[in-house]
Amino acid sequence: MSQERLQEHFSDLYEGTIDPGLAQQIQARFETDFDLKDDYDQFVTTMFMLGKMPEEQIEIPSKLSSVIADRLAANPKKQSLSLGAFWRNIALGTLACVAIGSAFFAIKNRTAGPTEAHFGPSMPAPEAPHKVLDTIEVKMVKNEATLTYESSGPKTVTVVNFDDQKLLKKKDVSANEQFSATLANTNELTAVFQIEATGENAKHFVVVPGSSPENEAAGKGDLITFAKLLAVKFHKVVHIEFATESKRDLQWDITATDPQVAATTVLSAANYTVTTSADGILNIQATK
Amino acid sequence: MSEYFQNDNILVEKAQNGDQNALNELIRKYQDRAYIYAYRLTRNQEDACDVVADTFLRVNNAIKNFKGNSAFSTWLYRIVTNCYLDRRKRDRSRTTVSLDANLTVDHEEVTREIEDTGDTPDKTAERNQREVMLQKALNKLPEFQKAMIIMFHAEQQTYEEIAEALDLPLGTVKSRLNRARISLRELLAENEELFTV
Repeated sequence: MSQERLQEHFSDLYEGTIDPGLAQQIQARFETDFDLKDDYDQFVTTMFMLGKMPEEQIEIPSKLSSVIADRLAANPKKQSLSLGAFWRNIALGTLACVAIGSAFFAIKNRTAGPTEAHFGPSMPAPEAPHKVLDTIEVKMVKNEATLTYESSGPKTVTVVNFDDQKLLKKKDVSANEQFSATLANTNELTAVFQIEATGENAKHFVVVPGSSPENEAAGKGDLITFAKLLAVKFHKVVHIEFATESKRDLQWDITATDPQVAATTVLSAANYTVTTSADGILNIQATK
Repeated sequence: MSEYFQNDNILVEKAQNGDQNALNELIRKYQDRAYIYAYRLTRNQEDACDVVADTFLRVNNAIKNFKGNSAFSTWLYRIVTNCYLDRRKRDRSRTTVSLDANLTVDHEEVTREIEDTGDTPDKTAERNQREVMLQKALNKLPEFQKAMIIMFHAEQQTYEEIAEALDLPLGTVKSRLNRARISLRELLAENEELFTV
């Protein structure tokens, strides 16, 4: 058998999966063909080097999730969502601008005065790869939490600052009209946006961290308080959804470094489920 | 139970029915693994991120066509590999680059370490040198062979899993992998010191 043909069996010989007769034949050939023996010895060294490959430590870049989310958001095959009528000169709170197709909300400057709501520059409406009607969706678009809602029929969507119950936005949407808003927090303190749509049982709260430093890791309170802590500690947007919320007292002492693990540890016993979206939003849902 | 812990089949089925959360769970569950494989193929953080983003875009667009004949992870390996090969094809059509050019900043750092150790290399430097040589040799292999080597040796996929992922007969995978290893051996033999004890 030629040297080339024998080399075809090197992997089988190395892995011990070769036919015993052929193995004997090759071993016998090694006794006389030193070049072939050298080749095989080098092959074994190569296999040893390849065997070290899994040991390489590869760091996952923190931006990976957002790169994926951006690519999905720019998906050319996504379904085109119909936008509602342009919003013009909608004045709420102390400042009003023009928004086209979407609105920009900000809870800002809390320490300097009452919460304000304003509409800022328009941005392209985030479009979901799968179109889901009557579902409030919260996603990260260019590092900002963005709310979208597309209704199957006439509904009213309200966005309220949870802490002082100030109405930030009220929008009547008709069938297949998309409501879109960026939920931004320029505050030091964490902001909680409460979002509701008429006729929908589910209530939504979007917790957006502020610039204040980390809170105490241990404490007790309700779900919103805990969600605020999670948002600050892990600098993540937290989206809470429940249909009928009964008051559940929670107690926590966060030691986990992974936000989902930290949240699940506290919330699973209280019948909440915790998931993390591809774009990094921590989602908390009441299971019953 | 959290969706995160549900098995892939359930998540895939939900995603196929338009459940965006289920698709997000699959992405979250597999994005790191996809990145590690993509990085091993590209040896470049930006390129690996792009390959992974392309991969999940394809997953999003094709999830309804996934028949479940193989594991989701196996299907994912196929898509990552295809995205990588497509990218290389595009790159080659744009400009001619030395294959060694893939070895970027990381390798310069490793090279410096080798120089610092001079004639008395310690084991770390020797290991680094071997890694560099191996990467250079890998980059000289045909892309498809390189992908197979990485899937088997670095990602520790079985022959059967690679055959499923690349839609090749098992015997073809085994013979191509053997050929790739022999080619690697020949490339590495150009640096004789690697094989001297």
